[in-house]
Amino acid sequence: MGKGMNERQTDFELLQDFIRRGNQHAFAAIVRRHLDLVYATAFRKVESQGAAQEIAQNVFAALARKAWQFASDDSVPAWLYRTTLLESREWLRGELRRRRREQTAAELGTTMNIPDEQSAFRALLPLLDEAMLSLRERDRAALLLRFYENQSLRDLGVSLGISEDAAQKRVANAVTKLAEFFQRRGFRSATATAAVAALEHSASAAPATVAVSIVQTAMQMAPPTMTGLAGILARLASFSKTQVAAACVAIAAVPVGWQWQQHHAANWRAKQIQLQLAAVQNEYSTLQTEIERLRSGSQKLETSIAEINNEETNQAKSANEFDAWKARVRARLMAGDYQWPDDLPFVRIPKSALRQINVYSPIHPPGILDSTARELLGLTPQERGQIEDALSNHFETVNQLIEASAYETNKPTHAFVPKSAIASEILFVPALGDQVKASGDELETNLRNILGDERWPLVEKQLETGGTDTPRRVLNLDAGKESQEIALWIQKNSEKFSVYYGWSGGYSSFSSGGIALDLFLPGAAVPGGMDVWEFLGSRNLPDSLARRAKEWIENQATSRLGKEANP
Amino acid sequence: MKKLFLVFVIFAVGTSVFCAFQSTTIQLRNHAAADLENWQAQTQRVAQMRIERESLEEHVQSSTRELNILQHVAMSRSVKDKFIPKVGQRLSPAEREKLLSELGFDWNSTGDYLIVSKETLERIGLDGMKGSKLSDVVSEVLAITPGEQAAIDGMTAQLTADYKTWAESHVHRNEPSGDVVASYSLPVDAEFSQTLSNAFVGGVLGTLGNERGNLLLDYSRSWMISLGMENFGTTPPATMIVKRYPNGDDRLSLETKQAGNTMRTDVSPWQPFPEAFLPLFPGGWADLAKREGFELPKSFQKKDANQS
Repeated sequence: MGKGMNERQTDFELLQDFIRRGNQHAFAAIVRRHLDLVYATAFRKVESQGAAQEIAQNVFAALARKAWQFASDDSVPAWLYRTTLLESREWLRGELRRRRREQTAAELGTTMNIPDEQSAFRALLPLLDEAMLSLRERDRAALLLRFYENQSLRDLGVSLGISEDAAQKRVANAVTKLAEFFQRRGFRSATATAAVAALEHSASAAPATVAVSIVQTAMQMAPPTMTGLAGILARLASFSKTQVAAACVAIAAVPVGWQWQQHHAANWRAKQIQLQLAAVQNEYSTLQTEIERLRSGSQKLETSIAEINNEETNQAKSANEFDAWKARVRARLMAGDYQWPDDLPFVRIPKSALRQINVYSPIHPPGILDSTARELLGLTPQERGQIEDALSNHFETVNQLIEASAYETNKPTHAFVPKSAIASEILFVPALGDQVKASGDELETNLRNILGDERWPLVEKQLETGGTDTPRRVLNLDAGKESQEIALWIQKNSEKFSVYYGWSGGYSSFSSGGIALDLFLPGAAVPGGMDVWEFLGSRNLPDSLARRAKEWIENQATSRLGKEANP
Repeated sequence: MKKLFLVFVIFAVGTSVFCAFQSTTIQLRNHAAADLENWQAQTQRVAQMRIERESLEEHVQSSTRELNILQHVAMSRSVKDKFIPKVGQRLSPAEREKLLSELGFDWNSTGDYLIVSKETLERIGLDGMKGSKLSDVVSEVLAITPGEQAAIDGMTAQLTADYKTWAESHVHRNEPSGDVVASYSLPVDAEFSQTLSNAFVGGVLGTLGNERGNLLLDYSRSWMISLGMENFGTTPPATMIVKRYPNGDDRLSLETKQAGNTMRTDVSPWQPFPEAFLPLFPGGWADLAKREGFELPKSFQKKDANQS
């Protein structure tokens, strides 16, 4: 294997050595290795030793010239074989022309006789080269090495880079294809054996001296040693197709890769910019929305501020006008030459006139001092609060006593109930005792303290005066020693129910006119929107009595007239 | 040749790929350049907008602060209640009290006087007339000037005189019988009453104006009723009956009917003489007792003694 490998490598290496360093020994080695192949082939074609020698010289000279073109995967024997055939054909053409000129018909006769003496395989020889050329190069190389250079199958396998068995198979296949070629050309009896015999017969060794002269001739025709750029080109030319392809791809890949990298970078940059642009556009729209919102808010705020400032100005103006008006009012009302002010809401009255002024119903339960009474007493808000607190306390005390003591009776003591009444309710409140007097005394003390000596007599006079609607009766100041009674009754007048009531206590009494009972039904439509319960409230009855009277009236209305108001 | 073809093919493909990459790279760069330009423009705009937003935010914040302060100040001033009422405007009790408080008027701030609203004067009761003259209290309350008082007193004196003349000519006296010691009645004369009323109302309003005139008419209603200036021709005649109490009691009872109202009370020095009959008996109870020849209750003597 080592030998085969060396030999195989040596073909290419020897040529490289020859090209780069001008090593003639290397070329001579190639010549020695393949001279038999070339010589045998040429001789078979031209059948002349001299011509075969000349052709061999030409072929190796061509090898020397074109040695730089060989690649590592090129087959030197195959190339030599093809070139030998071409050179032989060329020589034959020239020889034919020369013979025609010299009329060498005798030679032709000799040639014609040869077939008679040839054995069966000799008939195949003229077609042998055509058959060889029809084979694939690797098959052809296998046959050339096996039969023309007498390589063993083992060496052959090494030379072709395959196993011995594979080499044997390849040789066998090539021979079979060769036989088939012959058969297709009409040699029905052509077998593989015949083909092998043809190959073996056509192989012949060159004379020993031929090699030396061929080398010398080739050296004369060989180009000078290739160095520098030529060397590089030679080196490049010596590359195999795969190597060339790889080199070209590698060379092309550099700019393409660079461009791809540029493209990639540009693409990345473009995407980055697009992302940035999208981000900035997003921010732009967000900012736009925000700015619009802020502008709107700002505008509203400015409007509000302007309104407030305007209002402020107006109010300041109003306040100034109000102050001026107050000063004017004070001056006019407190003037020595006071005159009735037609254009003012207030007037001045002498305090001395107050004793002769009557106020109707100045006090109401549950402790309200009427506005008229408040003005006539010149009360401050604080004094009003104190007085109404005192009144509320008294009303509450009396009310609780009445609530606890009042009872129903069917026999009126003071009140008058007409015989025509169809239903009645009498609530009797006995004298409530000292608690009422104590509450009244406390009330008077409080009022005296709040009002002072100047105003108290005005109120005291009111509290001392008896009567149905006086503060004394409303405050129930006599309820401690006098009983009181409220009587309610229903009368039917002209098919309509009416309710009445009467109150009496001590020397005071009052009674109401009749009011239609249906007005007291829940949800009843009352003409003019009046408050029907003013029927009770206007007379300032004690709350507990008023509440129970209200309940009785409502029950009567509901039970007699139904739950709903009459349409 | 094959190698050359192979080289050509590889380089052709490589060149095509290179050119394709170059072309798309140029396009990408152009797009990127355009986008970059756009981005730069947008970025500048965004930067300007940020500045504008910050400015607006600051403005909004400062405006909000300013507004809060202004609102606070406006609320604290509460000038809402400080209004100047229009002439003749009706005021609620709360409004009246607020204004009085603003003006600083209360019992202790106005000396011998008291400042009250005109609405309050409409809701009080006082005697507008005393006999045939304006009462002192009404003159003081309504700030009636001496000239106005003279004019009204002159008018009321004339009306009283007219009424007296009419009453003297139309009064009907019933002879006392039984417990009745005096019985008089005056008929209904709608035309005379109307004339009298028109003269009084017109005179009062003409002299005092509507505001004070109406107040005076309110305060003088009982006096007008006593002179028949109310419910012209629709009410029964006015009557006055004085009765003696039975069983030797020296007390006298009085029953009057006027303008549809009936009143029963005791005759006493403190009981005003019925106004309708006063022009006929200017001396009141004493004149009536003298005319009819009955004795007044002892309470009159006690009062006289106290007065002397």
